[in-house]
Amino acid sequence: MAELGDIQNEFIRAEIEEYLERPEEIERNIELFSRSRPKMQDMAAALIDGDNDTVDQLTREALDEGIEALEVMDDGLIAGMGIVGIKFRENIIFVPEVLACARAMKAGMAHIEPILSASGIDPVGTVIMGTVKGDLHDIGKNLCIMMLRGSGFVVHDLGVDTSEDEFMDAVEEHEASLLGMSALLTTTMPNMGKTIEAFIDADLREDVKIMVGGAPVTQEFADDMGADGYGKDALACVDLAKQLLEEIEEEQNA
Amino acid sequence: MDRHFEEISVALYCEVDHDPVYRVHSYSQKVGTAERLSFIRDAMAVLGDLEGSGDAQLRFSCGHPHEVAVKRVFLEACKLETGADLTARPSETLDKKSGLTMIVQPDDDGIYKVAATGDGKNADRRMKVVAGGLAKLGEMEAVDDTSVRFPCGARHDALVGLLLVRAPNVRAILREDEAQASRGVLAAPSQQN
Amino acid sequence: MTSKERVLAALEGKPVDRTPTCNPTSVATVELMDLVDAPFPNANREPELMARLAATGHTELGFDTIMPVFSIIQESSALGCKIQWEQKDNWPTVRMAEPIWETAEDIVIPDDFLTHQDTHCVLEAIRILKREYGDDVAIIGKTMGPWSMGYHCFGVEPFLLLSLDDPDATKRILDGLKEATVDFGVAQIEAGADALTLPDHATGDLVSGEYYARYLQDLHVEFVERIPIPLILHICGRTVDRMDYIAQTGMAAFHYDSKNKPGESMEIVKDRIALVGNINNPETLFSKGPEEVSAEVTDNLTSGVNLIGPECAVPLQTAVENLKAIPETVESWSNN
Repeated sequence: MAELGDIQNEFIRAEIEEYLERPEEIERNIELFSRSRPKMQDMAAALIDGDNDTVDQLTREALDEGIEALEVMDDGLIAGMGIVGIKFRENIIFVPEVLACARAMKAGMAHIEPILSASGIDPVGTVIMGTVKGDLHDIGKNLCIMMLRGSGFVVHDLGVDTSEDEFMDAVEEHEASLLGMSALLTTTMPNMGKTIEAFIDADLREDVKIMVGGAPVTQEFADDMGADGYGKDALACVDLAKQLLEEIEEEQNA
Repeated sequence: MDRHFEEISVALYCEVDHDPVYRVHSYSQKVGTAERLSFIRDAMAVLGDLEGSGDAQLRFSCGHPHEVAVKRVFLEACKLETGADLTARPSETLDKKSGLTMIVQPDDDGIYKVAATGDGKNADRRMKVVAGGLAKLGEMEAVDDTSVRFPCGARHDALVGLLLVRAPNVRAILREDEAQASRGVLAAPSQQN
Repeated sequence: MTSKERVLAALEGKPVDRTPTCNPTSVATVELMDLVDAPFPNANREPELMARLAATGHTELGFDTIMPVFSIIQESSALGCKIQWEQKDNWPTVRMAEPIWETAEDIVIPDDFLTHQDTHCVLEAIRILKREYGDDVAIIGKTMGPWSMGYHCFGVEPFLLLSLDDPDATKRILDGLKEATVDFGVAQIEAGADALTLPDHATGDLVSGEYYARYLQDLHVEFVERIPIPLILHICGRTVDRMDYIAQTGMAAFHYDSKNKPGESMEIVKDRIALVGNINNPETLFSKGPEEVSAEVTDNLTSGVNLIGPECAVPLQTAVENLKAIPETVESWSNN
């Protein structure tokens, strides 16, 4: 099993030691960073620090060295954002800091996204993604979108503060089979349930599989709300999307 | 806000004496306000199966509040221009989504059953949606997938006819209600879009 | 005591005959607009309408104060921000998606800042209210703080990012904008205001308490020195983590919102500053009835909160009877 000392970047070691308290999060992050390249760790550290110039530079260097775009995204950018998300949740940092980290993320993704889009993978499905009404946080959603696109999904991003009608209109317009909703606040989580109810009222529920995610969301909550699935992070989101597509195919063949 | 009469603000108040009664009220001092309120009351009585009570008040004959339904009746009455024709709505409506005609038939026990006729598609699904819409808009109880009744057990045929018009697309109504409720709420600069 | 004496005594920490009811923020509603035929948006731009609508807070609702500055756009409008005026049943807002400035060096307080239609309207309305009610009722004006004006003039996200990227530039912006706060505040004193609300939205959902200490506390102390009138600071949201700093500014009162309990808030400020509040708007005043309003008022009274009122500008569709429940409850509690 990996240990904190296996992580080469000192800043990352300090972040995990000082700010992470939940055992499963500590274990997951030690595992993640201990097996990633030093350059990826440095990138994550720069992202956590809100240093968009360094993230930009390191991303370009990594890609020039031949490191795969997906690896750069996963181990450099997404890994860093994971720590940011935890610190924000625990009120260690606030919105200004998160905005700076998001800006750094964007700087890195500016180099990665064109590569992922040009990857020539056949689209596997269409997904509508949005953060629910009243919630202005999009970091988790944006990570999922990048991962989904990287895995071949066509994703329509509705942004933040998305109303039930906007979700429904988008599903109908794009004939999407999947809808993903994100919430970062416990106060906005109920809007997921309201959206699902809106789909029922509008007789659209059976036309789409709905998945939910976000820091305060749990499997239990997702089940109570009537969602089809819950993804605990961006990686799980992609797995879930693929699984739900399989379910749709089985239902159609039945 | 009443768009048919100088944008005065009209409110529906619930006053509980013996049974719940409703009063249509406005603080406006403009000439013609009393006549406008009188029309709205008359419209509510015809469209929603309410009866006059006491001093310019309205109530349901069953004595129950039917709070959600009465708000819907009030809002629909306010959408009419003064002098508009006041007839109870029929118990059938065209469902634009499917092309079917949805019909609601009551029985003697106050149970309203939704049926569909015509050449449209997805009849079963649409009947369930309409029944669900009636339940939501009128706070009615589901008896089965396509039948509903009021909690008081009484028949309110005109009211059901009014709700039926909106039931196939209850989302539009709820959207309207939500938009209306959020108007006039002042947000801090950081909360504004 | 007259209403005015009662309010001023409470703001100065002196004994009162009963707890005053106070609205540092708007209690205008569409029903009150109908009552006196003074609808939005015009009531935000024409002094006679503004005064007439504001007066209903005392004459109809029974508050001890009259506060005519319903919205928060006057200064920003006079500085050049674009305003969305809306209709009778909605608030005017600043179009923050179209910020007018990017750097501290862009800040200009125009020569006509106090004669612009929207700032002038406030000053004139205060003069009218002073003439008609000023002997007995406390007239409360409002001047926006530099953090709030920063959001309006620079945009929320750019301003927040700058606060992290360049603290010195942020301080220069606050120093530039604070002059507008002072100028408008002093002008309202000259027009006849007895106290001023000072909203400065360094709110708990966006920035830490430490941010308040770093960026605003000293400025607020400066306002106390430069604007010679009782000041009521208003910050929305959960603010217990900054109430201790606020209590040290010398401001007369802090208008606090319902995300903070009366008891815990009084514990923190400990008589160093008066508290005004904190009746919940969306869940209580707007959605429930007089009984629920009364319960929250009583909670504030038993905790010793110094002045009672809604937590923030009430939704325009709030029922008059719910607002009346605030002074009615205070009266009957005092008589028992």
